[in-house]
Amino acid sequence: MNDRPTNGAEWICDSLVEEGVRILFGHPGGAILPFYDALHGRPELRHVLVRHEQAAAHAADGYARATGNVGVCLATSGPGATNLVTGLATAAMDSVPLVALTGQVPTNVMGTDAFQEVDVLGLTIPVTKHGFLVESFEDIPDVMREAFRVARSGRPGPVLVDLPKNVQAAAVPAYWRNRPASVPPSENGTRPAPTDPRLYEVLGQAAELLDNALRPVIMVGRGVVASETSECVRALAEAHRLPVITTLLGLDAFSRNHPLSLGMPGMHGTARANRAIQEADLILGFGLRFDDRVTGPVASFAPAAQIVLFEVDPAVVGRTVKPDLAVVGDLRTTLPAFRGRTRSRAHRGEEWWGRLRTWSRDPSSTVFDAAGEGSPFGGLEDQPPTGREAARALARQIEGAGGQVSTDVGQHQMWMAQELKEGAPATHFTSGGLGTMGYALPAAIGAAFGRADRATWAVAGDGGFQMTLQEMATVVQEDLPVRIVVVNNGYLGMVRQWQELFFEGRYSASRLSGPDMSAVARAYGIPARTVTRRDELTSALRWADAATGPVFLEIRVVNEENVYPLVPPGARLDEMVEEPIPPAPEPATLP
Amino acid sequence: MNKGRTDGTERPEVETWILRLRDRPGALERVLSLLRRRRVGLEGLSFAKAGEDRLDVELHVGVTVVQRERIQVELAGLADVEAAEGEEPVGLRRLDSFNENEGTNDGT
Repeated sequence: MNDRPTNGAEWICDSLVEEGVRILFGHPGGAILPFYDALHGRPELRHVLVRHEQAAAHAADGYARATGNVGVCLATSGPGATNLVTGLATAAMDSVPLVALTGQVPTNVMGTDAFQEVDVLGLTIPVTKHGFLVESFEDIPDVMREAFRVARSGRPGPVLVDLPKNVQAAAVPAYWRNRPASVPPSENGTRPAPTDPRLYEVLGQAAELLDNALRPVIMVGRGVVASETSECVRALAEAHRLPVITTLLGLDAFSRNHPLSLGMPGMHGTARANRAIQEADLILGFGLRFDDRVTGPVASFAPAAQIVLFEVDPAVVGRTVKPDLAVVGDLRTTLPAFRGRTRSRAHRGEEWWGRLRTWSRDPSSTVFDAAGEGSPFGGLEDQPPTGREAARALARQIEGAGGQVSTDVGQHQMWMAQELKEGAPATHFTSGGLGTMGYALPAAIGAAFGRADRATWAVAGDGGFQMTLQEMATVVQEDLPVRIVVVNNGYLGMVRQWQELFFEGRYSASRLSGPDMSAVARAYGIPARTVTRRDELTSALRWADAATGPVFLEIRVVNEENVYPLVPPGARLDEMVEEPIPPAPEPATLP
Repeated sequence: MNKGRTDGTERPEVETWILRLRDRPGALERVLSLLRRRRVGLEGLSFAKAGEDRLDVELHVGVTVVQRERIQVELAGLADVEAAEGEEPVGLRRLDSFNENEGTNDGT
């Protein structure tokens, strides 16, 4: 029995500890002050003070992706809560388990448009898996348990818990505190076992389809990373010599250095992956949702293929591409069971592999290799690197040291996705579904706390970085060894690319006049370097990697450069445009 | 082959669905939000308390065949849609006979 006087806020802290929470990312304010007061006496709950609530949600997201645990963020009522919305939507789109705690005005003034009152439960309904308004302290333990259970279960996602100030401050009698909860405790990462009574029959059908297929491919999504089934996928692919395609959020599920890898599909995917999809007669989809950036027009996607989708969330099945067969359940159960039902087909597929090898597996061969021997720049070493060269050098440095990286959104995101090869599980974090600029730096903060054993990198463009750059203060305050890299081309690069290619070159509002990024970093107290020449790149990256505290690197790249391959909007995957002959590099000029 | 791909051209028909919800803040709004986000036409809505902490909701929705199953599964996955007693893990009943008996399948 615990007879210590307590209040609702302390009870919330108890619940967090019970759920295995060790770290929270947040920003205080009036309506959440009782909780912050309770947190003051709880050293087992580490709080990281961010500079904007959006960053709290992204940091919790990065922590969750890096560790597989539920990330927790908190904010006060009103503007604090509304600032969380982008981060919650980001997590919802990418199936990331979060619990967001928000302060709320006291229940006796709710509905009166009180100071900093906003209906955050209503606001976040479309971007959360569930939401709770705790109207009485008696509900705290059950709500907290249910919140974590919902966040973790099935297809993970964000859950909001709105906590009125008087509920946090309410005195909790000892007899209440010690009563048994009516909701059983959840265990981190557990999910309900598949309940479909037809599961094993469906698995048999899927195995038969594979046995009879002549041109099969595997497509891997984030579900494989989240369920930690990368090894099972690799074993299945190797046993049957199956080609493997990895989506943007599944890049870290399967190494693209593996001989069975075809690379990334979709708008900026490889020729080999996209053409394989269009010619396949069977697609085995593992933990993905056939995003429109992957499929192009649904009606023209994989026209010759039967599609078998393995997915934990039945609601995802058929939302875009309707599979011929759906295996609904946890991949940790369904993949091994499926593998056990297949017959070896390793002796087959030579003709298919012969066809696959005729298409390029690399996104680009026209890249100077900054890490190459001799004179790798062909006399152009004093010129600025291209964005792809920067990405290739970054990817080598990061993966060579077993690091983890968060990327922002835009051209650099695609170049990094194309150049990262190792596929170590849970090492690549990016906003794939929502495409949230400003994600990289705060997500790296969360990932750095989650996996301190890995070197953490945040790679952003000059546009996205300026949306959350204030989090450099958080990095400094926590003395986090995050290597912050800004790939600066003086544009909203992907917007400019689309304006060049699809809007006849009318660059409407895509030119950026940025500050001196390195000077800004130094103002926050972060050692910084600026790269303006190709031959500075490698040494600068090594300098950053060797750092024991935060460091900042600005890489000024060619201003106007496009990401290829490219599937134009509305085109079929096999109508992709591969890289044209590159223009001569031009000096970087920043406005 | 290309069988079964969604092409968005199916014609919606009005059906009546009944849900039992836990009557908690945001429960009904979450159901309606889902219908709107998935572009399901809402033709009618009624609800009534069912005991102290439950809510029965009757929805008249315009859905295509392709939408129907997916939306129902998604509705059933909402935390406040209560699981029905028995084997079905779904708190959603589709009243197949309702339209015939009541003659309400005319979109009115």
